[in-house]
Amino acid sequence: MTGRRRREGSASSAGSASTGSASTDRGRVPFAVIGVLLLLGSTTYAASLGVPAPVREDDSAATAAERLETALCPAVRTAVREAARDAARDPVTRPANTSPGRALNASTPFRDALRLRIAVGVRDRLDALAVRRGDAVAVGALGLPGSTATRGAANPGERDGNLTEALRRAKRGVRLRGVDDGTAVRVTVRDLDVVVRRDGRVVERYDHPVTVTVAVPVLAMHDRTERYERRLNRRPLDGPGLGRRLTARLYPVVWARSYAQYGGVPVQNVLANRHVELLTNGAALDAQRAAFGRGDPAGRRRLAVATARVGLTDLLAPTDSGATEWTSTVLRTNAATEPGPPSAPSSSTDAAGGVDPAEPLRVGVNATADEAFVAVVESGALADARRSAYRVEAALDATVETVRRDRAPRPRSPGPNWSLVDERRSREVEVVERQAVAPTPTDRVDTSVDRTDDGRTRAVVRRVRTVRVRQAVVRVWTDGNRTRRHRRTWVARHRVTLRVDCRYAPRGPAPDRLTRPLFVRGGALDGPNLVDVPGRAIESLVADRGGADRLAVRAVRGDDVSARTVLVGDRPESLRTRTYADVAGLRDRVRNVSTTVSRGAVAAGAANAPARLAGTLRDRRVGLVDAPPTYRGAAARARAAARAAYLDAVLRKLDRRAGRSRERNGALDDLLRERGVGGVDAVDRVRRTRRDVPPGRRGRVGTDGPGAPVALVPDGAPTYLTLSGVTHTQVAAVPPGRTDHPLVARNTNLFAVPTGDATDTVVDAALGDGGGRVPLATGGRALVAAERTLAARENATLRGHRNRLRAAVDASLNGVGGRTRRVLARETSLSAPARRATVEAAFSRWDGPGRRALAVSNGSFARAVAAAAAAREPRTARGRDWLAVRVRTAVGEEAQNARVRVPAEATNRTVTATRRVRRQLLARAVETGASRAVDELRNRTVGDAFGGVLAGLPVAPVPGYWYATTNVWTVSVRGSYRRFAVRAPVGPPNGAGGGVRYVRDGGTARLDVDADGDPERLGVGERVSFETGTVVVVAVPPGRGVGDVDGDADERSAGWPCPGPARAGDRCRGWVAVDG
Amino acid sequence: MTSALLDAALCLLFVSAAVTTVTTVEPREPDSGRAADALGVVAATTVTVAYTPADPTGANGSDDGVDARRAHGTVAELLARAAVVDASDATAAERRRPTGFVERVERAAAGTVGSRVHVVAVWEPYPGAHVAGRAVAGTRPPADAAVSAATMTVPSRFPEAIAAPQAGDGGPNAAESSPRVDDFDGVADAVASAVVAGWFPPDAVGETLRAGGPSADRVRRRYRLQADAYDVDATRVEAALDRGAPTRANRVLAGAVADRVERDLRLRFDSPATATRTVDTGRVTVTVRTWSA
Repeated sequence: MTGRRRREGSASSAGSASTGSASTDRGRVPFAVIGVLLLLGSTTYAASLGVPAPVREDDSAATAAERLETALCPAVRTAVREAARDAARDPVTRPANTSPGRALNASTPFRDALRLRIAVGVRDRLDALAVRRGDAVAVGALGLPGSTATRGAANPGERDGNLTEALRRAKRGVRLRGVDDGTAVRVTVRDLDVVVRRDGRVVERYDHPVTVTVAVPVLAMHDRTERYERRLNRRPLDGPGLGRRLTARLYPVVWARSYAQYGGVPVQNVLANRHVELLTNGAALDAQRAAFGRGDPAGRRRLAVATARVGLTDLLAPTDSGATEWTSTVLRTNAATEPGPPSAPSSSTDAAGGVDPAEPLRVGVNATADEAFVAVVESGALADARRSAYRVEAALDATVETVRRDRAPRPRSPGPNWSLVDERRSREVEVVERQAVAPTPTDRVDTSVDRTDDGRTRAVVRRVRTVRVRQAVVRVWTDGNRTRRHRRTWVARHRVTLRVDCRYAPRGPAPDRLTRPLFVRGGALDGPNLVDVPGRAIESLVADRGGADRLAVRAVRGDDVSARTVLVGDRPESLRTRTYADVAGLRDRVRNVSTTVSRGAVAAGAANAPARLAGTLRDRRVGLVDAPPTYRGAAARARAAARAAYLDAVLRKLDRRAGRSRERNGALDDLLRERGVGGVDAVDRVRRTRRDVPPGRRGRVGTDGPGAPVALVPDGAPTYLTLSGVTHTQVAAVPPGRTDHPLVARNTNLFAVPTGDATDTVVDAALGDGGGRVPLATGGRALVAAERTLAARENATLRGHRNRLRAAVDASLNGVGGRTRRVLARETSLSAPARRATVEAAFSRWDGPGRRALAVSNGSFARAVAAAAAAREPRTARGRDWLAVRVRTAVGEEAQNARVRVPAEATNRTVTATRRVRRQLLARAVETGASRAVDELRNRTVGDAFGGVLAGLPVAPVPGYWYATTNVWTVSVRGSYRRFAVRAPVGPPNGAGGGVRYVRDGGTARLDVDADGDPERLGVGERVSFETGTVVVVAVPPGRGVGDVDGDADERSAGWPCPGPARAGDRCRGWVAVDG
Repeated sequence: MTSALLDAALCLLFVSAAVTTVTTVEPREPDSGRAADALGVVAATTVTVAYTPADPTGANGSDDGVDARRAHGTVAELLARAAVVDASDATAAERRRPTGFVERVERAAAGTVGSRVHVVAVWEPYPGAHVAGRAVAGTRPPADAAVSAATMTVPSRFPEAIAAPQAGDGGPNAAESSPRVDDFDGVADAVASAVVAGWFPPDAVGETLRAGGPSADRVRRRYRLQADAYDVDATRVEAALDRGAPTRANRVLAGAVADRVERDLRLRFDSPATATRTVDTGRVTVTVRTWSA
């Protein structure tokens, strides 16, 4: 169409040109007209292009509004972006008590502040957006004071309540929602109006809500920081968090150091606060990774430095570097140049030499086997068991069988008129025949051995008597004057069978099995095997009761002659020795029976090893009794009975020990509760759940949002929370002239050296009132250590304490010696001087009372005594065994006797003095720089005794019973970041670098809500602060102790209990909060 | 005469036809619509741009690529921000780093707007300002092409030097002190402090300085470069920054900037009032031009 017109146009112009040329000679007028027309046409054209159509004149309002609408969206976007950045830089976690502050909901102050900031930001941009078209002006309006065209009646002059209400309304007008895990925000500004005015008169007004999605991860930053803080404040049982992570890290360290101490490494302070600091920081970084997807990179470097340094100082002399030095070291040292392992200890890889708490601890029956043995031998339980296997119940009963019975003659009257005036009867019973039934060739006694229906063997002896009963009657008749006497006799014969039934009826603990043969010579030991019993049964049931004849007669007369008795068959001479040897063998086997308990459970007081042992023994009882399917005679049963009796005795003892263990666990439970760590159960649950934390996975936040994924990088100041003070030069966030303690910690060792009340409490519960006394072993160790130290360096104070302790230990040893002599007097035929000499000889094997006390405690003294006594007097094997057992148990008992324990005070003073002298020694050696001398000194003095001999809580602290030493540390940490920031590398350059930053530094957030140029306080962004704690338990095998031996059981870091800057008197003032 | 009349009538007819043809052949409205459409695309389409901020040390002090930044926004927004960045960095090398924000935004925007669309975002505090920035996407229209255009404004990062005339009083983004607009000196002061506050937003800069690290080093370096560009004693700026007072550093810088601005204004405008009317620091103008082949 256009093309066609163009062609037409060009054709016509060509035509007009030819026409023009054809009429050149004509007048000029028509061409002028054409020119005018051309001009007109072009004017029209120009007018049509240059000037807006006149119709649009009426559209100016609509156009202005339309233009405004397009401009609103970018303006809102910018307002949201800026508001989000501002809200992140100065977040509100606690609203201020101001008009705008009161407009914020206390449960969601951050989001509300952001909404308010968005409302204010939009308001402040609206004026600049005003669009003017002709005389129409379009402007956006928001119901907020300070806006030019406020929506409602609110005007800038309104204050306080009205302002708060207006702000609350404005806040509600902004809908805020996180997109894709908070990596972006979707904001709807709902009460935004477009207002068009013409000459100051509103001609149009309508709602124009604007929804924008802006990729600023401010909600993710806030939410995750809150999550981080929550995790920091979690105790181990609250769920995954710092408490649990710290526990997981503490366990390997404490266990490794405990076992190192146990192994003789001079570890003074098993768990020091420097470890707590290091591990808390590691755990906090883990928590950061869990919350943000990554840990503070600078923090990781600082942790590496600190790890290397703590590793080094732990190997050095027990003097820590100064606090200031430490802060600088950790916070300033270049990680790259730092020697040593840069890897942080983690919960999965234990330090070298560490023992996992889950590793089982073997607990044996040990001395309980001896004690039970002595008990069964001395109480006669063994003899009873033997007798019970030879027990027979014999019963006699008689059966009467009438063989012949004449009829009794009737009275026969001699004639009529005779009457019976008298009748006398007489009766004569006598045994007329004696017969033994079924004589057996085996013995003189005519016994028949058969089996009852249930297969048991019985022996039956019968005695048969024929009894004749002769009866006579004399009747006297009379007819008045004469009498006549008639005598008549008649006879009855009875066969009486006296049957003695011997049933084997063993009692006692042996399992019920068939026993055969019985009542015949032979069987296991080829002994009498009850062959004597039927004879003795006849003896006691028949002969002793008047003999068979009399019994038969009595039976015929109708008396009940049955009787029963219990007989114990003769035991062969060898039975006693054989069962002793057998049970002694069993004793040695039982002594070695052991079970395993988790070391962690023992440490936490959640395990009862004796109860488990008893359980194990009960399970194995059948095998240990070793009863054959059929006893070969009574002797075999006697053996089983003796074994069973012994096992029962062991079990009784173990049950008693289990009871004591329960009491001890109960006392520990009370103690732990008293210390505020929540009892044995809680401690054990802390131990078991310590690894129940999801691994902090590294990664970015968000998946498909507009800004996702975003890397959130936490950035704490200080990056590494030191226990030592931090100043401005070390951490810029700390104001000049102030010193912060970013972290404060307290770790308490419950059973440390010097022995505290805690040990007494629990040990007393297990052993009865100790009355401020410590076990002999403890005193002995302290004495040995003091002697060694005195040998290295003379010290009057130490000598004084040593002397007192030595006197106490000597007195205790005298008690032990006395008891030993009494045992010798009972068990041997040695004379009094010989007994004395024997004990002296045994003692003299060890040098000095300290070592003697140790020998008494570990059982070697008892062995020595037994050996010495045996050397003086020839004894059988059984005698030697008995003596050894007897001495062993007596010394063991004596060692747990309250009288023999050593006063705690004397021990503690000696320990304290010893430690002081050693420090001096060590210090001097360090000063002179003789490192070899230091090593030597440490090896000679520190390693043996203070490597943890005294610390810790022995579990059943008696030789033989002692199966573990446990200890408990309670750890509390409190921390506060002077400044905690999260940065996200998102957004366009904002002139300050660093992307978006979320900062929690206790600063005040301000916003000019009423547009008066003076920002009002919204609230504060509180510092990220935390408080948590945990409890760590450890158990090492017996022999040595475990625990802090540096005398600082309750270790508190500088600044405890207030981390951070704030401190008022003894109470922390708002360490969780802010400045000003 | 009849033929002359006929001639005239024919001529009239032809001319009218020609005029009609011309108006029909080159309609204005549809073209203007195309530009508006393109503007709509530019205002509504969002893109994500990855870039690296300037690195002052040369050794990348960051770890794990955290320093690679991502910015998300509408094309118009990002171009406007690029124009602002272009006006903020003291050296051309800084502005036009291949992995820098401006280059990356321009490339991403060009990919979005398509062919025969040219988008220019300009931030100019006042006409003829010595400090101004622009970001461009798409190719320039040929000189002989018929071009249609549409514009919009996007808020810049800079505060308004002089509050918009509609507003009765200054908003929080206005320059700190109420400017004297009755002489060039006052206007220049207002503009200069707005410009410097846009270069270095005091709140954010303060926070960055407190945080320390590579970002703080970067900010310090930018301060140094700007100080050098305006012949300011860099040590005075540094001293203010060391005290953690970016507002003071900004004041030092703004003094020197104001001198240049005043020179500009006196050269260009005959009265302070006209200058005041044209000052616009708070907005970036985004112009979209389209043309047909």
